[in-house]
Amino acid sequence: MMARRIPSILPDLSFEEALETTKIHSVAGVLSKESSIITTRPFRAPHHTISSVSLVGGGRIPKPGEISLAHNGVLFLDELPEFNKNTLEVMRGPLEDKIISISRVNATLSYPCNFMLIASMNPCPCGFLGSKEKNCTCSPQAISRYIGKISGPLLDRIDIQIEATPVKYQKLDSEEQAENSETIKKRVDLARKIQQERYKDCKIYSNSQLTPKLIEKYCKLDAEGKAILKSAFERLGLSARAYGRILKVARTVADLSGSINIEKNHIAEAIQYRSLDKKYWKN
Amino acid sequence: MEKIKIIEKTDENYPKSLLELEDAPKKLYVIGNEKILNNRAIAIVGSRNCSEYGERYATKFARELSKAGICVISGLAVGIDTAAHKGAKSYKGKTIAVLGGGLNNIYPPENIGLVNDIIKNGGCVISEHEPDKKPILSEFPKRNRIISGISEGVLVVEALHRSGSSVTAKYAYEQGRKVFCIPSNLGVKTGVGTNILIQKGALLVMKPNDILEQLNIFINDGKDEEDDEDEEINIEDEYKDIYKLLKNKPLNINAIAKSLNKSIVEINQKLGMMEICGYVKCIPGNDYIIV
Amino acid sequence: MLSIVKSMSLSGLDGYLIYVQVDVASGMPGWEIVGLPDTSVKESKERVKTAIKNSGYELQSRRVVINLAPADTRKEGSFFDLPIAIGILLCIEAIKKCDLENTAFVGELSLDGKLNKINGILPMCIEAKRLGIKRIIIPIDNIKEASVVDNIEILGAENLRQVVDFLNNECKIEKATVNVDEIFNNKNNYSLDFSDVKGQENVKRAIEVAAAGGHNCLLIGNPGSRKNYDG
Repeated sequence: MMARRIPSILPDLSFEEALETTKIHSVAGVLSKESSIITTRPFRAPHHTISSVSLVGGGRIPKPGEISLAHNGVLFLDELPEFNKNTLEVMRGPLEDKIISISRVNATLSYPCNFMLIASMNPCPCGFLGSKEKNCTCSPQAISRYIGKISGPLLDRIDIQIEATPVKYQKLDSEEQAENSETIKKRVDLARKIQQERYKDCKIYSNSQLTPKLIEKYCKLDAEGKAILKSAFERLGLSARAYGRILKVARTVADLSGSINIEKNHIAEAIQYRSLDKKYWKN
Repeated sequence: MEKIKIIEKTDENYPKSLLELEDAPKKLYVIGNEKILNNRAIAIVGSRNCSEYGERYATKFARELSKAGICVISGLAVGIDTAAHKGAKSYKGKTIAVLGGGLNNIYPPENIGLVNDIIKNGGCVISEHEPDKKPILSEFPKRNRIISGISEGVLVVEALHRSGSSVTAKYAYEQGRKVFCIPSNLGVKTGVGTNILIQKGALLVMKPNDILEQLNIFINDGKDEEDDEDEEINIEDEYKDIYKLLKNKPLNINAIAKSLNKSIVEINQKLGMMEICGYVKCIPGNDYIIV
Repeated sequence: MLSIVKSMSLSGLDGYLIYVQVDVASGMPGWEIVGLPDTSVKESKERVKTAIKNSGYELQSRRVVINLAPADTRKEGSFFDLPIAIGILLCIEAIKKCDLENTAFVGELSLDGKLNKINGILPMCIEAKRLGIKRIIIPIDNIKEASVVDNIEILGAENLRQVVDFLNNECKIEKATVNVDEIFNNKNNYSLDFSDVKGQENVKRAIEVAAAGGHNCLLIGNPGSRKNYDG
C-alpha cells in the first residue's frame, strides 16, 4: 500500500528529530538491541482494536503510545471507521497540539507526538461503492451511517481526502516506469524549504499548521481566485469548515509549483481533495 | 402546498385510458394541474438503486420526450423515478408523479422539494388513496397499474430482476401498453431486469426518437441527435478535449490523464475547474461524468 | 556501613538523577526500601538478593535499609537493581573502596546475576552527560542505543560479577563506540519505494501534496484499491 511508502518521500530527519524519536522509542522499549539511533522516519500502523492507552500513551508504568512512536513520522490507521470512537476522540487534542500530556497522581508527563496522520477507509460498509467489478449492496442510509462513524471534529483535522480506485492486474504488471521516491522527495523538500523560510517568524514550519489568522495572512487570493472559490462552495455544497482546509492545501500546491501566489488552478486542485464533502456526505 | 382535488370516474379530467381498466380507481386525489391527466404520456420507471448510467439516460429520455410534448409519468421514488421527473423538469416539461400513499404523506420525504417543482411547472401529483393514508411499502406495486394505465407506453431504464419495474411492465402488457427498455451491460445487477424484458419481447430503444416513432410522433427539426450533443459543447477551449473524452463514457482521472498524455497534476486541476464550473461531476469510484 | 551510589530514572522523556543510599547493619535481619518505591521497585529486593548470592557473594542475615533519594517522587521500574546491588556489595566490602562520585549505574538483574535490557536508556545517558557524570554502567544489550551519546564513558556489562570485577580493577569492560555521523549520513534505507506503485497517479499526487505541506490524509477506496498487492 502507498501509506507505507510515505516516509520515503518526507524530508530527511534532522539530528535533533532523530534523537527525539529515538528517545521515545527507547522509553517505550521498542528498540532492538542492534539499533542505535533511528535514522528513518517511523511508520506505525496499529490495528483497529487498539485501546486508547496504547494509542496515546499512559498506563500504570507510563509509556508513550503509538501516536508518540510515530513522532516525526507517519501514523497509519487502516479501516478508520472500525476504530473505537472514543479511542479516536482521545487522539484529537494531541493531533492539534503535537504533544500529549498524561496526568499522574503526583506528576504530569508529556510525550511529543508530531506525526502525519494517514487513514484509510472503505467508501461504504461492503466496500464496493463505485466499483466496476462488483455491485455495492449498501443502502444510502447504511453508507452515511458508516461514514458518520468518524466524528466531524476528527475529519476537520484531515486536510486531504482522496479516493483510490483499484488498479487492473495488467497495469500492475506493465513495464511502465513509475516515479521513484527520490524524485518525489526532491519536490517535497523544495516545497518544505519554501514553507520554512516563510514561517520562520511564526513558530510553525508547514502549511498544515496554519491558524485561521495566519491563513488570512499567507493564503491571500486575488479576485479571480475568490470568485472561483465562491462558486465552488455554491455548486459543490462544501461545508464552511472546508474553507480553511482548501486554502491550506492550495497553499501547498502553490508551493509545490514554486508559485508565490495561490492561483486558480491551485484552488481547483485543492478542491479535488475534498472527496467526502463532495460525494458521499450529501447523498 | 396547493389544495387536494378529488376527481371522480365521471369527471371529464379523469384519464380516459384508466376507464378501460377493470380495477380502475374509483377516484383520484390530485394536487396540481389535473387537466394534463389526458395528455399523451409515457411512463419512465426503474430501480431505486440505480447506476449513473441509468440516471443519466432516464434524465435524457425524459427531457427529450418533454421536448416532444409528451407528459412523463413516474412514481417519485428515488433513483430512476427522480431522474425522470427531474429530466422533464429541466425542460419545464409537464410530469405526473403517481404516489403509493396519501398526498399528505409524500414518500420519500426528501422529494417534497421535487413535488413543489413539478406542480410549479404545470405538472401534478396523484394518488388513489385517502390523503392521510400512510405510505405502506408493500402496497406500492399496486399503484404501478395506474402508472402504466395512464401512459401509452412504459420505458424501463434499469430494473433488478423481479422488481417493482418488472411489475409495471407486467401491468403494461396486460393493459396492452407498449414496453420499451434501455439495454444494460451484461453482468450489471441493476440491468438484469431490463435485459430480461428485452429478451421476452420488449422494444429495445437507443434514443428518444425510437419511442416517438412508435407513438407516431415525428420531430423534424432538421438535425439528428449527434449534432444536438455537439452543440452543447460551449466551454473554454482548454477543457474541450477532456469534455469530448467524457462524452462517450465515465472515466477515471488516471485514465483521462493517460489517454490525453498529460500530467496528473494538470488534469487534476482542469477537472477541478470543470467541476467548479459545473461541466463535469465526480461520482463514487472517482469517475468523472458530464453533467 | 553506608554507601551512596548514583543511578538514573525516567520522568516522561527525561532522565533524572537518583541517589541510591544503602545501609547494611547488624541487627534484626530484614530489608526496607523507602523513597516512594512502587511495586516493581519493591520487588527488586528478591532479585537483588538472589542475584548477589548466585554471583558468588555471601550476604549474611543483616538489616538492609535502602533509600531512593529524592524521596518525594514516585520511583517506577526495575532500573535500580544494579545500583542497589552495588551499594550492598560496597557495604559488605565485596567491592573495594573506590571513587564512584562520577559513575552512575542502571540495570535490571535476573536471578543468576545477568543484566537485562531496560527501557529508556537513551534519555538517562543524555541526562547523565548533562549532569557531568563521566561514566555510566548499563546492561550490554542497551549499549548500541546508549552509545549515541558522546562525551560520556558508556560501559555495557553482561552481569553483576563483571561489574564488581571491573570496579575492583580485576577486569576491563570494552567501551562502546558508535560512529553516529556515519550511521546518520547513511540514511537512505527505506525498503519500500514509490517506483513499485504502478498507476494510481492521482493518489500519488495527493500523497505528495500531503507530504509537502504536512497535511493529514484520508484514503477512501474499495478493498482492492489500497491493499494487498505489495504487503
